[in-house]
Amino acid sequence: MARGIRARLKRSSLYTFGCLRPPRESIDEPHQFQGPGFSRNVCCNQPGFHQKKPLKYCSNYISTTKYNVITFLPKALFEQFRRVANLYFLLAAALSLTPVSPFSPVSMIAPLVFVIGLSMAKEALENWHRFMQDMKVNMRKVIVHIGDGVFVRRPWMKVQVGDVVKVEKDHFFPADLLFLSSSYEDGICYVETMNLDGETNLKVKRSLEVTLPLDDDAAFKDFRATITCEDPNPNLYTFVGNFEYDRQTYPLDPSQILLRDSKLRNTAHVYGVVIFSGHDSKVMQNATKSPSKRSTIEKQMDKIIYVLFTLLVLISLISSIGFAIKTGYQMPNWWYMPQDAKKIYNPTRPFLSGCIHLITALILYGYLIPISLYVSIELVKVLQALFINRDIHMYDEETGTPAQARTSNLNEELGMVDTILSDKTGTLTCNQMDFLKCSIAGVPYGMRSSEVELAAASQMAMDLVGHDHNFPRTSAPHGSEIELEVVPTPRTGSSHNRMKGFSFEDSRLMNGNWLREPNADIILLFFRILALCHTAVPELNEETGSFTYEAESPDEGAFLVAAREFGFEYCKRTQSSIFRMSVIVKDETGQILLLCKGADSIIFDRLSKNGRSFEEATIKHLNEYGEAGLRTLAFAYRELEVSEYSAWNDEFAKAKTSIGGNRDLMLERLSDVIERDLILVGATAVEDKLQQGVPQCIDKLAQAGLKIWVLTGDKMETAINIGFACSLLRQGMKQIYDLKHQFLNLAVDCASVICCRVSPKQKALVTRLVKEGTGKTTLAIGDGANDVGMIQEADIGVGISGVEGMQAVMASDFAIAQFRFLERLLVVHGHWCYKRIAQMICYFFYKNIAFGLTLFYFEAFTGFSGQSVYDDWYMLLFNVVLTSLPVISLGVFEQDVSSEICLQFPALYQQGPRNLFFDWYRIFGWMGNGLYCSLIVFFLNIIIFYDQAFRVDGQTADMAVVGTAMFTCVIYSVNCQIALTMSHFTWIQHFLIGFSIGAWYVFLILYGMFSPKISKNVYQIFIEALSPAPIYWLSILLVAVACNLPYLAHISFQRSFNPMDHHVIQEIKYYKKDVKDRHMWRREKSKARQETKIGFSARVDAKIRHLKLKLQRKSSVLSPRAVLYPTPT
Amino acid sequence: MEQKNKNSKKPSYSRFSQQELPAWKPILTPGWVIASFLTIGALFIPIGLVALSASDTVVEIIDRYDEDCVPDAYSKNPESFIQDPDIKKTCVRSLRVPKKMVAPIFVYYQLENFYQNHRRFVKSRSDKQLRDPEAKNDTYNCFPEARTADNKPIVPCGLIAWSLFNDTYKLSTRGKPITIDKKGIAWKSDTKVKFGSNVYPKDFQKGGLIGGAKLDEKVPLSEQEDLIVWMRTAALPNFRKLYGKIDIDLEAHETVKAEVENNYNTYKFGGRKKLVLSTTTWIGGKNDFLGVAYITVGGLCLFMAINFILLYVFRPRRLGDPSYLSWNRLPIA
Repeated sequence: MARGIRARLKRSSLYTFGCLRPPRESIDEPHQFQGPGFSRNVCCNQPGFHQKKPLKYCSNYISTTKYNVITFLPKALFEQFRRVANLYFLLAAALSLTPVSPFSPVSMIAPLVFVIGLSMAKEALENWHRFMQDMKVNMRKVIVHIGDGVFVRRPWMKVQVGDVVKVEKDHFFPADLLFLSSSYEDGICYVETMNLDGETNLKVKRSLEVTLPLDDDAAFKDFRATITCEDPNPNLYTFVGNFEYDRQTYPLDPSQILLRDSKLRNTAHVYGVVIFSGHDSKVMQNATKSPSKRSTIEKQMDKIIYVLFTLLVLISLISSIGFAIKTGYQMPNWWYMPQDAKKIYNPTRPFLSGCIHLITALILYGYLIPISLYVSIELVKVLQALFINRDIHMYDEETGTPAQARTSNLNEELGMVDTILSDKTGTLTCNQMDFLKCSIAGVPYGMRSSEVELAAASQMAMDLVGHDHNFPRTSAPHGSEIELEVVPTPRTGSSHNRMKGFSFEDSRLMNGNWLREPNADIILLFFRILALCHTAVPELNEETGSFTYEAESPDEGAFLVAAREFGFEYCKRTQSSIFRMSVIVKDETGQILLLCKGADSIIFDRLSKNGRSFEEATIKHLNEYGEAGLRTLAFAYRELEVSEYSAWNDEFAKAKTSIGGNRDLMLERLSDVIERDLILVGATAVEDKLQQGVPQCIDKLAQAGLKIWVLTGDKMETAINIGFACSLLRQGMKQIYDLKHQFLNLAVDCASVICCRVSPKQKALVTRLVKEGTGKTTLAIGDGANDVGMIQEADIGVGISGVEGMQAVMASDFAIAQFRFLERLLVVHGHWCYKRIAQMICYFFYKNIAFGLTLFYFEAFTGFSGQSVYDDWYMLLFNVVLTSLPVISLGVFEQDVSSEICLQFPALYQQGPRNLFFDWYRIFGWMGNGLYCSLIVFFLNIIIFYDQAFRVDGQTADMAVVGTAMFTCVIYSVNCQIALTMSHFTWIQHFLIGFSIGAWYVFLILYGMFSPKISKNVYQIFIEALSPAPIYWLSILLVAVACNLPYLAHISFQRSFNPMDHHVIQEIKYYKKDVKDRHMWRREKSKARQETKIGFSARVDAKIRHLKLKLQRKSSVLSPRAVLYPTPT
Repeated sequence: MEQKNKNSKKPSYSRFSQQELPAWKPILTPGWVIASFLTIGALFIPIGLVALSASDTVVEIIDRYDEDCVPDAYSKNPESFIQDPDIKKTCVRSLRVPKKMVAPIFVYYQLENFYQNHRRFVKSRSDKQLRDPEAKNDTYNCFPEARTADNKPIVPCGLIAWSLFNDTYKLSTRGKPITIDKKGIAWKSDTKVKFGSNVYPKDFQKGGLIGGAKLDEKVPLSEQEDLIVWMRTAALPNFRKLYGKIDIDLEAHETVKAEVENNYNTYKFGGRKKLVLSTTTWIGGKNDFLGVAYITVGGLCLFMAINFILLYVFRPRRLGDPSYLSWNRLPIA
């Protein structure tokens, strides 16, 4: 359908400086280069040459997978055993095959195989997803020349270096191409490089003049040429090469190169020849391997592992020294153990025996560093991630995308974030501009409020209700004025018939009513500037008969739509020159006008003396717009004399065709000459539409104590506008721009930071600076390929999904569809996951210390021989079945407070960044608890079952009885402990705790029923020996209570006298005080915000402070405007 | 069609997937804290008292005889005494019954400093061989008591069996012998399943090394109850094992004459041997510790309960008092 226009509009008459074609004779000499770095030769249209050496280049098939079928096993295994813990377990498993092991090999090898298998399965799955993603790209179709001027569609992966391809509008380039010709006669095409640099504006590429005739399929029948150029490299903005065609050599530069993953726009088709394919292409060269990230807790866990490993080595050393002494000095006297030929128990060489025993001991006490900890954490995180994925509140109806935890490693890190670094376009904003307000001849038009005004107004309305009590008298007489601004224009009512890009509402200008306005002539001029001063291309939609506009930037689109709505439809570009910010036009009366549109500061500098009549009013409006977060531009014009114009135009024409670096300078100077003595017309305010819920989300995040940085490639003005729009900035804040030194020192103390004009690389660098400089957890959020570096660099990378490019999501750890979901992701899931994982790890260490140390104590009573008091199967099942499920349920289901309360009390989030639940005090507390528990379990049991009969039938306890009784006590103690640790019991927790204890008995009975071949000493032990013995049951009760007593006393004391926030809130909820005392509840909710200086709540607070100040001064007149826009305080 | 696809990605709502399952959220209110401590205290102290009184009813006679049963001439070198097969090892002990002992009275031997729980010792047995006559060659773990010099498998093999305790006791009172019933001292599961009724000792105690007791080759293992009891290795280096049962009551202040055949060598490793006569009750033998521990824990709980009551009285905190929220406690900047 667009073809029709294209046919009529063969020449792309829009020139920006970048694409001005220098005249023919100015062609530079071909680049002179030889040697390394410039070895690539491409035989255009002869891909056959590139199928064999020496010109064989890599195919266009891309693969980002880590493994293939053959390499998977060795590589994945290698990856697994790079983790020190796994290596330790492997070693232990290997040693279990030798006679030094105290356990049977299967009990060591089975869990290791399970863990490694699980991790490898996960790895394989991820790899498969990558492969599918790659194949989706590889199977994209492109039109390729197969000879004799015939073009056919082929998948991207079949494209080869040297192929001539034809790319159609809105398609991606399959490889790095040399641009030969386009549907425009003058060899221009527009590309969108969103995926490369995140910029949404279009870039112009131009082909060499010499290849212009190659503009239809048949022309390629005999096309032969050679390209000599640089080797593949990651630099997106440079290219050096020579093009040899018709025995002539032409130099190539980046403007002839179409990069893979950029998109053809506004151009029907282009022809190009493949230079770099597949992994040689610049975008693939740019791809960085995503680093593997580990959460803070995991890193801290490593330290705990070191502590425990030290403990392990220590007790193993004690054990082996003890063993050596016993073996050396006492064993010769133990006639019942005659000298051993095997070296393990050799009294003549106690040192050697001791050394061998060290290994035995290390394996025996290996329970201190349980392999199951890693399995459980992995499992818990996967389940947590599942909950994140399935959270219906993070599902975006519009794009149909749920939240996605792409890695499950970082769930708990979400609860510890200190600084959020956010991209702007696509993340905070929709990249859609809405024309909202304008000021013409000093009169403001446009009734709608910007989103930030609405959000602030509603917040203020809520707050004023709360503040009523404090200021009942003073505020009453001024209530009406407040009402004035807190009742926003209803915008939902008419939203459905609103035009995209146009939210303007003011009957004075609409439907031709402007003609009746006092300054109709100026309004007309304003509309002319609106309609003409731009570089957009109109396109007739033949179905509806209306024009759509393909603009370089969305603001221009908004202007054109606005102009059309006002009745100034822009249909066709006639001869005109656009330079910098002005356009020179001739109106129907022959009057030559210079229409100018630009940043207010620049325009105001260039106003003539008599052009300043509206300056004061306009500046005031501009400030208002700016504070409301709108993008502003000032409009001005100048009437030109014909003579002045023609003189200037001659010079301009000359300058345009001049060569070299001077050209730009000359053009700049010429623009300055003509853009002066302007007459101000007015200003526009365009709303850079924020994504849904962004101001509210930022407000909540700020209240949760998070610092928010915005990193944007935009220019400063835009960045500041959006800062206001998101309530990151408010009036009264000082803006500091130029700081090279101590940037970080300053920035970390700032409530919010906005970095503008940052390149993708700088985004990553800033992120690294924050991460390393503050040592705190950073989260980067972005949507585009330009955010990939930042996303990979930050501790947590969040990608916005549901947009076109997938690069950000592919690089991210979490993907959400909207920025606003970040609140729930952090404040709810982050908070929960942090506490869950922290408690879970603490408990896990507790339980394994409690269990593992009993083995050590028992050692001391067996002459340090390495004998375990428990059956092998008890030990195997301890971590697998008998104690793992409740702790997993703790890790998956625990909630200190419900999700609503998390959101209502964002201050609770601070428990994570302050790391209140995983500090050394707590960790050592838990370890101490484990030590205590182990002592109680062991010694109470040993003394109770010491030597006398334990039953009425006179039998004494043997090792199996003591071991089983002791083990039962451990099971009870640790399962009671976890019940005390939990605060949230659904049927699942009840069931799993009950199940764990029940499973122990079921196992004991079943195992005891097996033939003694399998059950050995445990045969019938429960039924026959233990269950009829009351002392067995009494010892369980005693030990379980004694083990948990100190913890119970501790938490009771802490809760009573040092309650934490969640304790108090739990109590309020428990006693339903929130229902009984709504006022208190609301008051606490509003107080629960962190002292924050950003977010619209803070802005409202600032306003209210200001308002109070005014009220207290009892100023007689209080204009509504003064309330809305307080002067900086 | 597209709409359908979009919907398919929408997470389905369930209370489980939204983590909204109904939950019991108990909190430790002062009431709960005090109540639980009081309950534990109130429960434990009576249990402790009952256990203590039960333990008190148990009458136990312990007689250490390893030193006294060595003739004075050998007291410097008891090993040469015990290893000399020609010296008569009988030794008479007289035990005084402190309180009336009601049948059944259990006779134990107690060994101290004997590492029956040593890994090397524990592993040195073949369960298969004990159970199954066909498996007599299964002596893998039994070194050095696996085979005789002419490579015949020893049944039962291994150090445990080989070191079988071989002191014997004969009791009599007022000149009348007391029968010690040696039947039924082993666990049923051992005699019925673990030790085969068709497995007979073979080549036992015939090697160069002299161990403990010898076994009657005509009696199947399942009836060798002394061996079976011995083979249940003890958890600690000091242990008691059942020797037999007496089915008559012993009156208070009665003297029991014990004729001890002091064969077992504890002198080499500095161990002690004791003869124990004990009655039992529902908690087993004499076990004051259990009662004391219960009373201690119960007492601690009461103490804790009182402390908490005092704390709540003197420093009360209204539950759910918002003034304890962190933002109300910190001075506002």
